Amino acid sequence: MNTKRIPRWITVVTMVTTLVVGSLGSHLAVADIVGTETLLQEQNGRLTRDDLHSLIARGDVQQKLIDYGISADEASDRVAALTDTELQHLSQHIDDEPAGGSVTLILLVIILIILLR
Amino acid sequence: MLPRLVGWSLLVAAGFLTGCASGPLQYEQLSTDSATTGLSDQVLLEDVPFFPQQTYQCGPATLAMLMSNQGKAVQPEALVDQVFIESRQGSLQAEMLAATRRQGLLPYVHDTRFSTLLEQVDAGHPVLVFQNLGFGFYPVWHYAVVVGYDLTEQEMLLHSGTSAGLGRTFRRFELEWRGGDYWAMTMHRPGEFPSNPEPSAYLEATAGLEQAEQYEAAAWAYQAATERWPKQLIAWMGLGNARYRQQNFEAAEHAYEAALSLNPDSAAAHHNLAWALMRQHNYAAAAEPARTANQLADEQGDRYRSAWQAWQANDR
Repeated sequence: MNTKRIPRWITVVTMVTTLVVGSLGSHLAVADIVGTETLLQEQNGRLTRDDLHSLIARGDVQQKLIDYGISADEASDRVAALTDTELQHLSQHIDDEPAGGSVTLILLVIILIILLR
Repeated sequence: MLPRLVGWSLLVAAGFLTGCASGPLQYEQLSTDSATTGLSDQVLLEDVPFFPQQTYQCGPATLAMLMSNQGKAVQPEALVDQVFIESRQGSLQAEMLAATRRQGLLPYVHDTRFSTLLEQVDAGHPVLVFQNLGFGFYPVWHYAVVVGYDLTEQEMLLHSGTSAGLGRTFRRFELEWRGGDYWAMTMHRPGEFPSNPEPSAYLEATAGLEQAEQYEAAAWAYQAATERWPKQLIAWMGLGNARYRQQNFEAAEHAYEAALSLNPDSAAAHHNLAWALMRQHNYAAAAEPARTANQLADEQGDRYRSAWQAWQANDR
């Protein structure tokens, strides 16, 4: 047996811990004040999430942005500026959300012009 | 002959899908809407800069126009990485708000009334709108900036795509805007307000700045909210929270105390006040609010127990 070799499970555990603590650590719930977004949700009677769910939603949306072709660093910065409510919504509906871009209109106009000529 | 027929059928079908799908248009009722009585007849916000859009990138272009209008020297290219999704050929609304926060500006999303839009333009605020330039069955999503209007001519003026100050009839504009669910936002320096702000919408927008860790901007906006609506508990709580995040625990303490004087039964106010005191190592003063928050937590939620737990842990 090769004693120099680090067991695989240690590598995996280290990697996972680094990832979770490193990328999401600042959003983990440590005992502290209750933030204003939570107070507003509470007041409006639509507090459905807890900190763990927000964390998962944040990870989901970040991964989705990476899947869309955004770099990992930029995806992390982009989700950091989203609210919990937005993250919850996007984690469910990001593929159905309309994305404003236009220009495809030109194609449509050309088709209509050709047909109406 | 046949293609021509197909073309006209498509156009008529499209007309039904977009124009006639959901009842009367708001602009037709404007003359009877009391909200429009004080409005100027003609407005053109000449100082709003224009950036022509690059392929698909109306999101970054329209954001840059509003940001520049607020004194931020931002080019559309610098925003592409923040809002554009190449594979979706566009930008999501939530990310438009997020990019605004990243500049330390407050994004305010308006209600869906036509008169509200005119009111904002009249007050000097250019409005970023979301539109469907295509059809219900073939949407072409687009962002544009409303920079003026003419009530008599029933015309809207927009910075849109590659055109500055593009004129659109109210009818055509509203059809396209309705296609985008009447989504509209304005952008404000922290401490400044849109015309006739709703406290809940303004505080939600400010909480977004807090979430995005723009604490100084959030504190300014909350401060302004406490001055405008001194009876709004959340405005005081928010001011306390923003100051707390800036490690200014003494200022946070004062804001939480103001919140408590508005509602002595607020678990949140007791709880966060106790934390602000503990951060100043004033455990003696923190005991009472921490204990009270813990009692109120029975009714108002377990999240208000952590101050008491921390206090007890320190006491051991």
